[in-house]
Amino acid sequence: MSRFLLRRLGWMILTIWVVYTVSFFLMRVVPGGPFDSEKNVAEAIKRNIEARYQLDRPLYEQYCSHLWQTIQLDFGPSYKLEDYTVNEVLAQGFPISASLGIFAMVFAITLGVTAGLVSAVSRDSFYDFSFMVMATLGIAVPNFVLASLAIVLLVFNWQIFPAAGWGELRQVVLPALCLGAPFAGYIARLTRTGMLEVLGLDYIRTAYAKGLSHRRVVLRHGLRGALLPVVSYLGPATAGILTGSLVLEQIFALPGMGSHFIEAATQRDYTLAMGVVLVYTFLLFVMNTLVDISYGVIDPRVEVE
Amino acid sequence: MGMDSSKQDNPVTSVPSAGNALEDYAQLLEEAKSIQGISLWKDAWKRLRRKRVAMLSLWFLVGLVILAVLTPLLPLQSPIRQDAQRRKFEPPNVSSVSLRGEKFKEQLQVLQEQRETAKGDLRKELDEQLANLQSQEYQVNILWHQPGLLTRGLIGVRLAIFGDWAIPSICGTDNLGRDVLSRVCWGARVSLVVGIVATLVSLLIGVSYGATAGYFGGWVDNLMMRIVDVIYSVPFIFVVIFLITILSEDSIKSSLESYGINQIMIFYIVIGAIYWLTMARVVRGQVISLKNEQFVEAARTIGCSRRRIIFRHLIPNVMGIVIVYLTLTIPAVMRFEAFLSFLGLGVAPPDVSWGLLVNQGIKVITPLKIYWWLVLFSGATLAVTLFALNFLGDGLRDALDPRMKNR
Amino acid sequence: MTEPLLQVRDLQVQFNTENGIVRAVNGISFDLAAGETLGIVGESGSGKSVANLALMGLVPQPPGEIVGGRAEMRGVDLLGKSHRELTSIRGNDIAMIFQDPMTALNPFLTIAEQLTEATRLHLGLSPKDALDHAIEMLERVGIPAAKQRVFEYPHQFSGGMRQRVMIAMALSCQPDVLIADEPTTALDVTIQAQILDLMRDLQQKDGTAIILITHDLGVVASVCHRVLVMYGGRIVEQADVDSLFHRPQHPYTHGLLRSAPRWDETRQQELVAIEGQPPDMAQLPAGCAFEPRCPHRIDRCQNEIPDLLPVAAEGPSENCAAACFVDLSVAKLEESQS
Repeated sequence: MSRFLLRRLGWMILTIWVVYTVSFFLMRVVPGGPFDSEKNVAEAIKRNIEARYQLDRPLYEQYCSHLWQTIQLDFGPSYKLEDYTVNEVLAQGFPISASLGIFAMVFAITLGVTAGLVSAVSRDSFYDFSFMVMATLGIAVPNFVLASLAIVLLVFNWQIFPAAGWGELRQVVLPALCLGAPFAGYIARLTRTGMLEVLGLDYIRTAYAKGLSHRRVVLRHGLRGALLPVVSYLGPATAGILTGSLVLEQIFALPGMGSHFIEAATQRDYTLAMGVVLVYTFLLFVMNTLVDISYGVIDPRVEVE
Repeated sequence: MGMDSSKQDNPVTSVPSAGNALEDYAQLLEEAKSIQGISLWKDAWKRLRRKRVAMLSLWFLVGLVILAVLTPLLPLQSPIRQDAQRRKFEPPNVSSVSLRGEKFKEQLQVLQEQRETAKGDLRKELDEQLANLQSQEYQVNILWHQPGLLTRGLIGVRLAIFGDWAIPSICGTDNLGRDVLSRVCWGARVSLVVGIVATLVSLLIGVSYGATAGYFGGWVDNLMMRIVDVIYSVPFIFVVIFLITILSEDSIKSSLESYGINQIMIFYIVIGAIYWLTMARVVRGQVISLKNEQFVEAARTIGCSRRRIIFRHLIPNVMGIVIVYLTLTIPAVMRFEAFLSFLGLGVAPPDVSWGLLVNQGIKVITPLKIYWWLVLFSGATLAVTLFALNFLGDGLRDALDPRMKNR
Repeated sequence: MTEPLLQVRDLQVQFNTENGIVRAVNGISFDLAAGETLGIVGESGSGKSVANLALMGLVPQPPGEIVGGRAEMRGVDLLGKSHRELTSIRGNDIAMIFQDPMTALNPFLTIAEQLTEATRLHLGLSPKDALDHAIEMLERVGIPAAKQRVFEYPHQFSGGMRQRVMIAMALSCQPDVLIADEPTTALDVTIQAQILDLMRDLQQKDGTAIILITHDLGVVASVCHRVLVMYGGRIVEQADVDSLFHRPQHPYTHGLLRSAPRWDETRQQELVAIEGQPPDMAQLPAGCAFEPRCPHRIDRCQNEIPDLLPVAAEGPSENCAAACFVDLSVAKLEESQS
């Protein structure tokens, strides 16, 4: 297990290093990048950057010293926002994005697994049909369309939820629902398929032959096998939630990391953008590792190597 | 199931004596020929036809593509010409419109009214003016954004048939007075093309990458898949957005354009570059399992060349899963394009795509006035198309799955 | 004569498939006495497994359907019961073990968890008692180091061991009837012998009646008291094991026995197979299902289905019956004379 974790750590470091190096060179090489002297940059920032990045030193030295600083988690000053370092911006945005993401994920899993389970058990019934239609709807409709419709209906028309802003629980619900909807749909379908497949397996018949009730067979014997594909899916789902949050934070005016990233990208604030990308890469890696570990926990046949 | 036993001797138990051997084998061959096998494709098509939803989706998509291709031919209003003063924010209506615009319509109306009441010479003069007005040339480049050669031709036909008449704004107009219906139709072209082309790009990269890795195996496979893993674990979309921002930098853009690569092409390549990963993985997996299948060994045993094995045996079997993933990647790409356009990083005005339309629709939502038609039509079309593609992909996946053969 | 433990009368099961109605079981009747081992022999598709699944209520109800018959155990008709009512009977009064021990055990749960489920449910044992009982059962079926191995997972056991675990699981509530559906088919021949010994042993100690479903005549010969031969969803012959092997009354049984390679034949002699193919269960003929392949057929066989009628038995046993219009002993006599 510890070998596994160590290897994973190694991969993560490698990946992050690759991302970092690519970004570094992109920023230097591209004209119009932050270090292009032709760009109009506010004086204060320019001074910060020059001091920070030691532009007069040879490239190799810059790379190394910058790398060293980044390893120490100092991402440097923001290129566009005066008086803010990237670290500060990230620290401010992270809790918002994190809670949004976690809520969305929890919602997606709970709703998805329940719907998929009910669908599978009551196969071809009305419930099955309607759940699967809703699931497909959730998957097909882009989340920003869903979000806008939701805003129109629930915020303006019926005024159930507040429109924007941050701070209370109520304000997180709508964005989290919109963010999680497509994943709930996907998970519902995965659970349903997985469950149907498992229910046709021999050991389910053995369980019935022992005299166990429907409830016990489905929940105790069937669920584990059915959930394996769902667990695997959580990795890409996390990536999707991270991406989806970009748009939703904009629509709902949430000052999270996602909207900061968008601003950074469009405003060419490369340092901030790179900081966000590195953080997201790290998060994704952690999530994927957790998924692999839990796979080994659920399925005793798998040796986590 | 079991064959009718009265028709056929069990060949295993009747040991052929010398004289009868040839006859028996000949009979076997005859019978073998008369059994009509079903190829995988026909079988799959049969199964697909049984799923009503998938077929519905298929016909819808076919219709959509035809509509998109024929859009220049349709009597639609201009998708790009603005008329913010007169036609802003019209809800869906059926009042008549002129292709050349409101101003033109007004002039026409004025002249016609004057003509009604005028007499004699004045009338003749007005007739002339009317004739002049109506034979005014259509400013094709203003009404449509730089149409290509083929599109121009189609537009010419449209102008010849329908002239100035255009379908009224049954979907309303937007904040700059542009007709929504026309924009949705023209936007279909862009969205569909981006979806298809970018998917094809990812297909090209993914299939070749995956097939190579799968076929060669060993360290080549290992290395190639490791690279995929690394790329996969980065939220690649961020890097791509990063890339697009950089590539949209004016100086870069102009230097690229000097090479003939315009923004939309960058778009295709960059988007395709995200989605090839899954395709590569899937193809590699398929090639690996196929490589070890007995039919490949059988082919090798009877002396098939490597090329023949690859083209006649491996590729057709890979195509099935490739097609399924194609139909599932296209909606993902379209959604991503909409996403990018929404963020302002995608298709640039005056080109129009569904994502851009939804974006514009959302931007003007205020609690006071809800311009629902700006979001509904474009959003619904986008959603329904994605829906259809997903259903079709699911149907294809079920139809091509050999395990479903007897279900 | 004591009342039979299980009385099956005219059981009919069919499946509604896309290709038509498959009539898997077409009216079979038999008795099972307490403590006896009844073998059911037949080819794949003869209906032997389906019939027994029907007894347990394990036939998937769409597309399957029990369309007729009764199965009485202690005065209660099993076929009429709902799923919920059956849960107290399954595993408790009647247990079943299946063919493939690799897939029949839940790979995600430990042996302990799977073994204790039934006893805790049916016998109301406490967790500790159930665990002790489970370990005891494992020891009885010959699993070494049972106390440690009980906490392992199925994939850590070999095929033969897994089947022993299955047997332990089935017998843990001391059922009156054990239905074993091809329990040794998926195992090596040597392991097969061990498992059969085990089953015979347990039966003698606990007095469990066993229905042993198999296509292997060798298994039948070594373990069973009585045998049913099934073909095309019907019972075509029924006899005690000695009579079956020495005086088969039905052409199909005769063919089966004849096709088994014998150690006293020379290599030059050809293997004799039964000609033809098994019937298409979706399109059963109007007459005897075996008629197309029967070397002794007469015209009547095409149009009428023969009933299972008792045959005059020689020797100590009774209850031999065959479903055939032709008296095989006469037919064979004629053959040897021609």
